[in-house]
Amino acid sequence: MNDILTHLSIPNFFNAPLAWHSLPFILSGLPMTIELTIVSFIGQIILGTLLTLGQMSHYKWLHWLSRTYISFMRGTPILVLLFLIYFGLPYTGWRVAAFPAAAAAFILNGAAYVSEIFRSSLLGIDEGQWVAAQSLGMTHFVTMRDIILPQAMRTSIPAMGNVILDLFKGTSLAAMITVTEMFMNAKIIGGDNFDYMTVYLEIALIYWACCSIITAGQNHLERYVNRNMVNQH
Amino acid sequence: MDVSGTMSALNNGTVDMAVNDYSISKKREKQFALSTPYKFSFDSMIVRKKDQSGIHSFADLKGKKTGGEAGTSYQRLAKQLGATPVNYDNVSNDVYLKDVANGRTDAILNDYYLQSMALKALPDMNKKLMIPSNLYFATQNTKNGSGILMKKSNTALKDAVNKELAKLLKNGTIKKISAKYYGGADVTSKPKVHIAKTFTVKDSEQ
Repeated sequence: MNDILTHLSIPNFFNAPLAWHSLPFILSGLPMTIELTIVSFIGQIILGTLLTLGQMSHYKWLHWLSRTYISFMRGTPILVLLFLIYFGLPYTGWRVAAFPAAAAAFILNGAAYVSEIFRSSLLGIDEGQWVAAQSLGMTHFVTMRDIILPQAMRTSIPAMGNVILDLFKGTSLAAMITVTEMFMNAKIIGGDNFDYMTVYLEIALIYWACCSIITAGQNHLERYVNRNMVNQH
Repeated sequence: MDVSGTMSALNNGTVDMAVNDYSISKKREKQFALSTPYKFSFDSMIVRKKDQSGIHSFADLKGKKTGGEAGTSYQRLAKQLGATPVNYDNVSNDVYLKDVANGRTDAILNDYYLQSMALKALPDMNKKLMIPSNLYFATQNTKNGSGILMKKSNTALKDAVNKELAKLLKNGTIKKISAKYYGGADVTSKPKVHIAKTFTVKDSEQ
């Protein structure tokens, strides 16, 4: 086995035996990565929905509040937000643990992007749908629930796929605030063995493999949602 | 750049030398060239003043949380002694120290001089934290001292650096710098404090 691994190595660049032997330890961070991704994704969708409703609201202050929030969150680096929540909040006496802090940062930041995706999906629905629904006597709520949202959800899937992939890879930033996910474990191996190049390449491959699985899931979902469409791509 | 970038940068030639208290060890010498030692030191831990974080002996480290950088031998040692390492990314001293003060972590294991300098530089941390003098320790490589890290194949640079270091040691320049920055201490000779225990830090699972 070690012979095969040695042949796969590129001297001074990629140490295949090290990569192979450190794989279990690095993968032990995967559950945390997945957990953080799922919790943050659900939170982003919920908050994103509220933000979209706020943006479309007739109340000017609500509209303004949502727009300002989105502008701030899309305009600031998420690393700063992570740092502020985990290391900054304790100044006000409120100490947050690492995992909740990371989840909060990802949710608060990502919801802004999700909201814009939802808004664009809603904009993409033909005006005629609204008019037809109104002429049939449907209320705004019923129209949204039965006519508009099902169509909007379909068109938002590719963009939401982007969001979850971004989020999955973005969890590596949580290592900065001591969350023990995959990237942190890779850094530990790198530091122990004075070889970061190998583990960084290795973790790139691991992220790619996981993201491919997520993408396959997205494709499946798209095919299911489009199952009754006449012109399928 | 942080440790991960530094080592890669050395290997691909972006930088020629790295200076960051790298202890001289057989393991490091397999992958890098190290100069002759310019600094001898020993290790200590920072704990809270009011109850010493509950740590009065090395055995008390069990179950405690130690703050530090991922992949360092200090965090490996902490894990070996039964503590839970809490790993930060490349953050500054005040972040590490504040977390000990507010209870997120219980102790930090590191070089004594670095720790005493950090506490001196942050007076309100100095009020809340302390370095217990009965818990100085060393690892199997501490007696070798710290050296300058260079690319393994760069023997010409290594010889030049060693020659220059010998000169600076002889004419007292390093001693002067040490007195200025390490509060009067002379780090060019082996420390004369009581080292409570010397640990052998095991390699992690490869």
